[in-house]
Amino acid sequence: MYHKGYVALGIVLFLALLAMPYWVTAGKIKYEEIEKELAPAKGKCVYDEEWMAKYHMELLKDWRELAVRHGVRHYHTENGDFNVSLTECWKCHDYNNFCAKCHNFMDVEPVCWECHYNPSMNYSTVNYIK
Amino acid sequence: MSDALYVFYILPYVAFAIFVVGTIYRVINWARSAVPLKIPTTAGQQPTFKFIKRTWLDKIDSPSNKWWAFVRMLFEVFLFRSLFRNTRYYIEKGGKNVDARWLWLFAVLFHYSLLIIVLRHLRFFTNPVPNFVKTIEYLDGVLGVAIVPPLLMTGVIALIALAFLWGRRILLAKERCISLPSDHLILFFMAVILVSGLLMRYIVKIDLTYVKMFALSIVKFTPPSPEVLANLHPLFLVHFTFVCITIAYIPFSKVMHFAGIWFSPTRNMPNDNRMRRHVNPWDPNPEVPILAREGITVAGVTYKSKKLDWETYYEMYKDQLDEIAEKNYTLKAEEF
Ligand code: HEC
Ligand code: HEC
Ligand code: HEC
Repeated sequence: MYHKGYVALGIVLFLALLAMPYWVTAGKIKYEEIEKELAPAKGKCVYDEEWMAKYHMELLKDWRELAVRHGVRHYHTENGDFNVSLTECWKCHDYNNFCAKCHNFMDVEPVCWECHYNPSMNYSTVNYIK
Repeated sequence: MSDALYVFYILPYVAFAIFVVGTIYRVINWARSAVPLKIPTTAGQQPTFKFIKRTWLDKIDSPSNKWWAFVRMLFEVFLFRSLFRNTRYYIEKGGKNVDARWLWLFAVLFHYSLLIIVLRHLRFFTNPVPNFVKTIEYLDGVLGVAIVPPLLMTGVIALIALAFLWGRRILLAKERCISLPSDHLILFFMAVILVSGLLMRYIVKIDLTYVKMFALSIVKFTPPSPEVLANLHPLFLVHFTFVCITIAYIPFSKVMHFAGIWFSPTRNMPNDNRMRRHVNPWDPNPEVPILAREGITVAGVTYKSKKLDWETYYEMYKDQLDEIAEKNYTLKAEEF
């Protein structure tokens, strides 16, 4: 074998790159059964749980369209009547221990909170929602 | 049923074992082959008299020591410099060069998009997710932020670049001629992976929490619960299986250029022919030239000669050469 030093260095770097998930977290990767850690919610969700887990962002997107473009503010499903609004979620869900917990786990950062309210924010004017 | 799903848990380990062992095997195999001649290809000014100026471009192009050869290598690896300079090979009827550097452009776009996509996938393999992954994802999505979920540009760019790179092999006559089945195969794998990934993100929504739990169980070497496996979406399984197949296929494929590029003799050798003598590593300082010492064996007969002359050559390949001569070709030694 020629240029043993360079080749060995190359192989070491190659292996180091493959081990990236370990060293970028300093070896502390936590396995979480996230479904079991979410705060329980009240009542019944807009659709069933499985559907919500997959499609809640689509639902919110559709709701935004419905409310802002078409002025539809009420939404009826077999689980009941809902106001077409982001704040509707806070009737039953906690923000920090529900939405944010799962989003942090998945590394999702919705931009919505730049404008919209969620209960982790402390605004006295909107506290009537709680 | 759920037991059978554990195949998907075993799959990545098998794929990575093949990938790592195969890659190291091929790298060592390359490292064992000698480079008997000094063959750097250069276009820049070599070091010579002091009054002949060399700019830094000359130093990169015609490196005279290991450091500048290393810099040239970096330009090659990160900017695909050879591709940039070497794609203008179409000659139209008028003898005009045609600029085909769009190949370089799409190659760069494709490779860098793929790099960022792979780094972004770290969000599935780490928990908590490191900040740099979040930053990459944020920057990737700044242009598409009004869309839910934010449109990540690398995914789109990679798809467009792939379409060009594959379209080039399908639609252009010359490229179609020189494309092997393996060229199409790897592009097919890439296409399946990209399209299934984009579908999952933007169109067919899947429950990502199970995907992440599955990914974490792989890096943590702890088998996932049957519940997690049962909740993996079929489209995800397609995506995942193709990724594993591609990873296992890399050592056998042209994707090995990620390691092979470091072994390109025309790129990694300093152009110091006139300063340093290059000794053939497999036959250093022979007293008797190898041609006379060991000779050449053709069809079981060994021919030794000081210099390979026409008579010896003719004797070696008599049958073939006579056959050619029968078709009224004149065979004779080249005059120098
Ligand atoms: C009337 C009460 C109610 C409202 C309003 C409501 N939810 Fe739910 N939601 C629930 C319940 C109950 C569950 C079941 C979760 C559980 O069992 O812990 C649920 C489940 C979910 C899940 C699935 C969590 C998982 O375990 O995978 C998501 C995501 C979700 N809701 C999002 C929303 C969003 C977004 C809104 C606002 C549009 C909303 N919900 C409005 C009651 C509600
Ligand atoms: C630039 C600020 C901004 C951002 C970011 C934003 N929105 Fe909105 N959103 C608004 C405004 C303004 C309205 C109009 C309020 C109204 O008509 O009641 C609205 C209305 C809505 C509505 C219906 C009305 C209501 O009370 O909720 C929904 C649903 C909604 N947005 C969802 C979202 C979602 C989901 C996101 C994140 C993906 C988001 N929005 C991000 C500004 C924003
Ligand atoms: C079970 C985990 C989970 C829970 C609980 C959850 N989300 Fe999500 N959410 C996700 C995932 C995963 C995505 C990203 C999906 C994708 O990229 O396709 C997402 C995306 C979103 C998006 C789209 C923004 C983006 O960047 O893609 C919004 C808005 C959103 N969630 C709102 C909420 C709200 C509001 C709640 C609480 C009521 C909530 N989510 C609870 C998992 C969850």
